[in-house]
Amino acid sequence: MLLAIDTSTALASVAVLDDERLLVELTWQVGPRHSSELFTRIELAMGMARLTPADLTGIAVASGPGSFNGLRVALSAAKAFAFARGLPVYAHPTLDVIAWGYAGAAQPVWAMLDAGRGQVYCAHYPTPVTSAMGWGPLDGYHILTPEELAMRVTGTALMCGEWRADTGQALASALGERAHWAVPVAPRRAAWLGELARPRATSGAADDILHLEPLYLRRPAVTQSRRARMGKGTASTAETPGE
Amino acid sequence: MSEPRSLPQPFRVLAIESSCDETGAAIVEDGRVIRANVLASSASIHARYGGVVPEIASRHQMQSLIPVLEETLSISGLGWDDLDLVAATYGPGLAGSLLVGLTAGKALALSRGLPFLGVNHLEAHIYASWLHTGPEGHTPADPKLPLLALVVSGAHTELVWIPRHGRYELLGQTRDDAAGEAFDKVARMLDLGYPGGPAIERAAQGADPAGIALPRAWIPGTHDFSFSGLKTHVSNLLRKLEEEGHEIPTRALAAAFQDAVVDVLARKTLAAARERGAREVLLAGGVAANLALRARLSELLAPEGIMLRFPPVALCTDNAAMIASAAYFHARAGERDTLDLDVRPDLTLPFAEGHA
Ligand SMILES: [Zn+2]
Repeated sequence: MLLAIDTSTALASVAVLDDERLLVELTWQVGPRHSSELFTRIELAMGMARLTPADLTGIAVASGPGSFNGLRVALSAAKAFAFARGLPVYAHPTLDVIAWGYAGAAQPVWAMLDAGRGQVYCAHYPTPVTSAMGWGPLDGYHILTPEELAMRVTGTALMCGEWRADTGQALASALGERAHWAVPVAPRRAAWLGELARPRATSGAADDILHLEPLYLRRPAVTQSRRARMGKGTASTAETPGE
Repeated sequence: MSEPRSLPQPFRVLAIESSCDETGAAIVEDGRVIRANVLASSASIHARYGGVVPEIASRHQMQSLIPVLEETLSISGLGWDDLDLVAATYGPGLAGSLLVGLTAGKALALSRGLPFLGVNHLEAHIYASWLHTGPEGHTPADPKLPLLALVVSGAHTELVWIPRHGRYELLGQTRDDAAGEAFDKVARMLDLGYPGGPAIERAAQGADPAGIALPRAWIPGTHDFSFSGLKTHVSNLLRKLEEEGHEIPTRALAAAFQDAVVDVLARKTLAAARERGAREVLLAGGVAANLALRARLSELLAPEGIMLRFPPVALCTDNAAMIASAAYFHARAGERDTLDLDVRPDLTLPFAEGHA
């Protein structure tokens, strides 16, 4: 029994899977309420699957990139849950989860998430692929402007994920008919995350919760603020825009 | 809080604290006996920036979370079945930092089927005085309510009357800078480094402030404080000394500044204690670690027969044991939180209106 957790953006998803099937999936617009809404949804999903925490055998988590605070909630929840029950954790980058939904596509897949500051988090996947084992991008994860991303797309591509309207327009005008667009009502689903994690549960290749961290992709920004709320000198914020 | 209920004894709380630049976990019995109290800090990283950088703090907390929890359980020698409740700070503090600890606390509670309580960090500083710190077997008396609390930290300077558990009446507060904030700012002016409180205390040790007259804001007729005038005065004095080519008497200035802050805090606390007929005064918050403040307060309160309480230095600064203690007294009143509790970065003490 696998519990899959994804609170990478304002869209969140949790799922419970057994060895063969999806038992329950809840996908909802969480907005910035990642921590307050996650646990009631996990309780609901587990209840619907008639399971208790003691029945779980592993936790899958989407590790980013995305909203820094959203990722903190997902990773913190996954690590603490796994620690308290002695369970393995399977972390998968959020872009991998998005792209996995299109693993059977005829053309190469580009998965995107809004990164703020006029940029997107993105990665490029070789398709079609049938096995989830070893699923990952061709050349890592990037932060690019739509124009920079368009330069990297050779031939045709299937664009999937979440992006701002102006990003979509910039890409569409640069790529023209070479771009195909995947715009489902749910661009990301915890069931896909569960599919990626399941073969690892069989092979026993889990992540180390002592060292597991979100895939932030951005370095922490250091800015001075006027108010020292905690009274430990100057405070600053380094959130992703649109947080 | 309502009347105490009977809880299983000992009642063990596992608490998490992550409101600023620290990651703490603790297991405390009956709100008083510390079985384990572990803290990981990123303060040395922030010192390079002259203050806490929130994004660096919360990333460090994400790294420290499991090691700190693991060490806490291992030191305590206890297992999950020995625990009765999970607690975590939900405010005030930095949003990203609070999220790490609060989310972890809720996940632990859900996964082990334990009740959960979110804790107000400021209340917890007050409850640090309930923790036993003497040699094992020694059982000190609890602070006796009603009492007067002076809550002094980098963000707070408040005189609070506490008639019973859970009730807080605000008597006075700072109108501008918090005392700890003034320490940080003046420490920076004097190039003494960060955090400012301990830096100024070190520099002032044994220094003679004679000849440096600094103003004190009494704000008569109220229990309020003000420290921005003092800070500005120090800044102007430094500029004048520099313009005239004098050497800066750093240590004497640090001593004079500390004297001025401590003098105002102590005398205004005495006035409030007299007005309320307080038998006990409780010192809480990071600035409670300042030895000059403790000395001046006991010098003023002892002749009046008023008992002064303060936690040891290690429990004045942020820690998870105090979170567990505050959670115990709320749990005893029958309180529990649901798992949809969110972080409250701007939380204050839950002040009651008027008199009890
Ligand atoms: Zn504090």
